[in-house]
Amino acid sequence: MTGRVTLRDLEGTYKRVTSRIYRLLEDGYDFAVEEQIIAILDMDARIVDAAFFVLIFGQIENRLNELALRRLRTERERNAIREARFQRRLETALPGADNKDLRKTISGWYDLRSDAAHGERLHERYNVAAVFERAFELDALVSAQFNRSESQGEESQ
Amino acid sequence: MDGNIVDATIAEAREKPDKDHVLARLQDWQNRVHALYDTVQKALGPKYVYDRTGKNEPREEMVQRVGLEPGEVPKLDVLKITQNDRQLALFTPRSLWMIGANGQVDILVTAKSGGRRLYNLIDRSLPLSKNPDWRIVRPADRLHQPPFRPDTLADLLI
Repeated sequence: MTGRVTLRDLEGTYKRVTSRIYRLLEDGYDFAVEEQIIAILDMDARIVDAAFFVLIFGQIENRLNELALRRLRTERERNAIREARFQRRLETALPGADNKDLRKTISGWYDLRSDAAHGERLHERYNVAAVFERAFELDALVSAQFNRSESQGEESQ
Repeated sequence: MDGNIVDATIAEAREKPDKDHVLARLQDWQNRVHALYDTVQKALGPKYVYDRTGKNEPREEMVQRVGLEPGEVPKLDVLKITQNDRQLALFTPRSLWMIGANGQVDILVTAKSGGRRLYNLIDRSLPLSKNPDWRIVRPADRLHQPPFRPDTLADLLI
């Protein structure tokens, strides 16, 4: 595969990867193997879920970075924002009081993603189906602002 | 609580846990799980035998973080369904605190052939919202989460 990976690509990959893990898990139940094996497979699935949460958030973060760059006028500002911490990129991409709730939501996702990415909260249980649904909604909200900024001529020179 | 289950559960995971809130969540969990069992028993009717003497005591991280002692935690029934002394299904509460869900109950179904099959019941309602939204999920197809209809459970117990 070439080009950019999308949320839809990740969803397909998640479906294929987890179906294999959980088929093993189901076989574990089916053939009444040792509970320890089932526990290990359950842990495998939880780690995969945490990894996918990191990947899913990466898609949203990428969209935010694009929007932040689009909102800036000079190459100097754009170079600075590329190196900036996440909160500054977020505030640049989604400025103002109207975006307060959206910033708060995405900040929450970022904190959880950072914990998982740094090896913490790998034990957390995720309902990844709901995570994907919400990620598509957040992606659409950020994309709408991206498209609006484009139509308002904010495209950087 | 926020209006989306993922946002709400992420916000809760980031907060410093409060003992009263954790206890309220555990009591609500017990109420929902036991109401679920009541609904299942009513839907399946008297041709099965139901045993709820087995108990499950949540010992999740959140329970430990607020320092709840074992006696303080509301215990949850484990539901065993049998017919002619043969176990057909076992409902076990798995986890209350999840990102994107308001708890999960596992159902282990024993086929006549002797093999076992696992299903997950995942509640998609908001925490403490009083309106459960149970979905039935095959672990190998976790992205497909149709509403759980207790009247169709008999089909799984064949």
